[in-house]
Amino acid sequence: MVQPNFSNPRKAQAELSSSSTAALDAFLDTQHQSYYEEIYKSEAACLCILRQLPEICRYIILHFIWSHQPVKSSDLKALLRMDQFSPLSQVANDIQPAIKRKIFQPLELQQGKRGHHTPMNDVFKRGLRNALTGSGTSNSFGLPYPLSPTDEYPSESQLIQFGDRTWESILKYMVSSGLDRGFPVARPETSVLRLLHSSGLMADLSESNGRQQSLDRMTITSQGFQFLLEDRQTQLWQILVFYLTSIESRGISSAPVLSLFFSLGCMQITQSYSLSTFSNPTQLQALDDLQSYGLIYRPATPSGAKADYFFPTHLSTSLCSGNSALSAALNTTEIDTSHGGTGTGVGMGSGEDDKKFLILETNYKIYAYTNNELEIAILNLFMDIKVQYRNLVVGKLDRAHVKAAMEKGISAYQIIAYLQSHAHPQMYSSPPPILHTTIVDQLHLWDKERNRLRTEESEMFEFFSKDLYEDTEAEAKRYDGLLLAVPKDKLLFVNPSVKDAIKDFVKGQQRQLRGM
Amino acid sequence: MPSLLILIVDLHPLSWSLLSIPPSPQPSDPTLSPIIAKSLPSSLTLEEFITQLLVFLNAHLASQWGNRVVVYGVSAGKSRLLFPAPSTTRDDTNTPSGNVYEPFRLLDSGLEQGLRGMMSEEGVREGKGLNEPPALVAAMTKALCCELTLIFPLTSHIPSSISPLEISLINFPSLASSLSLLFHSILTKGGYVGLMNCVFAAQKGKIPIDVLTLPPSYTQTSPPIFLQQAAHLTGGMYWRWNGRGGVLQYLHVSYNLHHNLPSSSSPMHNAACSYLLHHFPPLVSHYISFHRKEEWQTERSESP
Repeated sequence: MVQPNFSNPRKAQAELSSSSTAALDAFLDTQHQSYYEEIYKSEAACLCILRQLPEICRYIILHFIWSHQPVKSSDLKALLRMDQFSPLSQVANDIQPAIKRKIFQPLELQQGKRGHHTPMNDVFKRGLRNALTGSGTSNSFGLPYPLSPTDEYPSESQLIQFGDRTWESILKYMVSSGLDRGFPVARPETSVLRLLHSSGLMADLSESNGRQQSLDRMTITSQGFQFLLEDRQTQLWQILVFYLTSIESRGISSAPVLSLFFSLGCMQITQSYSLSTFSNPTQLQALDDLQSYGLIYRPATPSGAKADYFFPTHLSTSLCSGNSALSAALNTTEIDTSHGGTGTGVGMGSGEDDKKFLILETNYKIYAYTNNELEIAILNLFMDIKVQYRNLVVGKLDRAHVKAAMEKGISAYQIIAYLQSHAHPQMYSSPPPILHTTIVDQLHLWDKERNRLRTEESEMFEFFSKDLYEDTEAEAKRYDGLLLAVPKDKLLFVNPSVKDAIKDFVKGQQRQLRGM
Repeated sequence: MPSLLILIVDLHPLSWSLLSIPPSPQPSDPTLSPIIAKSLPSSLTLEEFITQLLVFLNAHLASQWGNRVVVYGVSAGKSRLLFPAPSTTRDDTNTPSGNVYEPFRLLDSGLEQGLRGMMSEEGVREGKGLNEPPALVAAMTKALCCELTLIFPLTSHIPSSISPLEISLINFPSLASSLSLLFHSILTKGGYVGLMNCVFAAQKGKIPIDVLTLPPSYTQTSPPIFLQQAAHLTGGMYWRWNGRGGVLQYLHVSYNLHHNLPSSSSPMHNAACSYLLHHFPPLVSHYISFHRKEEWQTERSESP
């Protein structure tokens, strides 16, 4: 039977796009007012937080940003075109995401008047106003560093290559650790491995007591497999949030580092930025660490020391660019008027195009036009690779491989999302949905197969008398402990917790029968 | 969903000279609400307007990744693309700053450059043809063409699950009294037909045209009825500034209200807007202190 929710591409698409900053949202949700006051000192952070809010909140904030009075609930209702007598909870519901980010406070009664109001956070208000007028002083959008002719000046493609290679080498290391026959990979930096370990993406399974964990013997966990199938932006934010929590666990506030991430998200690729803006030691440490993930590139001076400027790579400049697939699509259209004046995340162009290599046929055959070791390794997780040419991998989605992937903790949704986000432009020429319904449904059915058998501890009672069997069955139902009844063989399976009660009941019944 | 904002700004020297004359003291109007009456009618110079306009355009870029802005300027008898500049004439002399988000800076400096170009052309003209009406129809046609070129390549690339970008075309004609007569002369020259063709094209393409008329009622100018009609036909907004500051708020209200929220019937719409504007305190416009403000002033003194 076809279940309609399986084959709804819009829904899957929505899940895909909404989740890219899910890790960050979850992290921010747990933070207190003081944390927000700290990050809102950065104009870049204000801008990025604003853009991550739902449309209606952005609209309300931009509308009231120039007002110097608290926002009244009556104004909000008028703005949202609600009836003035509609319940307050409706308005409160709409601004809830902004309240969560401490931009507004919960609506409260106005003193001496009827109606409710809420003040806008002053630090945020100042930050966003400064961002819009360009009159801030904190250099939060990155202080450009004037390069001298002798300085190293990488091109955009070099930066993209550096970012991709560094990031993919980490992913390759993870995949390789899970394969029986791994391929040669470079060992990432120790700080990276430590983070992979503390985040639970990799673990040393040979040491179960957890004390003598060796970073070199780690293998990928099921969480790690799930991580691999996520899209790039989701992966980045997950890692960055793990990084923030690891700082917090050392008892240091992670707010300056989060501001730094937002600053990176607002920077432009190929522009050099000075380190002098980032004075905080945790920020400097973070910049050092970010290079090992490929988020920034910091050239070495001739003397061997690290230069006091850096270049953000496309990984960091696309951090806050919303739906990366969309901004890539916008970027690829080079039109005369498009250049220069827009807010699209710059630099995702070529990298994202390479990712659209996969053709899936209705007979479960996959043609993947790629020679990327990492992508092939990921495909190998859930498909049976039959042929491998220099630029093409041909294989089939089959039950055995998909089930093996599911054993590793990968869900059908993740496989579908992966196939969808990597679909070749050719796949878009047929009418939607992109993936054929039968395949999507089959993947879900395979996923369900895993849950077909369920083991539960139980006690079995065997009866010879039909009357006694039926009485006991009723009794067990009364206790809500009946798991299974087999009338043909007069067998009852009950929950162990009600075993004693049933036993007493049976004994009582037997005594009664004997007594008669 | 990213949106494209195409803006047509009237830069007709006559209308701006009218707007920048400080209004004579008005007898207090008892129909005004006390909050509005508190703020006095004030003049609006071009540079004041442009700074507020830039903040509004920045806010448009800020509200969503992928939002775009295209600005056309119209003057007596001609129209010109102000931003983005054609790639051949682009010269990016301003260096990036650590306090300005790069897309904002590109927009601000690009628009400034475009305005400078237009102003220098006005200087060369030496008042010739100044009585011609603003070439609104030409600008609207260009804007609609620009929208077509922007939309069609986009939709062919974007997966079909994403609906076409929402487009809007906003007008800020500030037609002064002397021009409203000339507006009638457009009619005889077939300008009315051109305008209506644009309006129908916009209507068919579901592009709302929002109109903000700057000369307030105390300037004794008649409202541009054809633009009212254009706004009405395309489901856009028509607004007339009340001359008491708060232009930025007008911009925010007129643009955002029907783009980001589910559309509703226009009477409601206008009711909500007028409610908001009438309860809104005048803006803290002194807060907007652009570092290039002095440059604007020098530029204006050059223009006739």
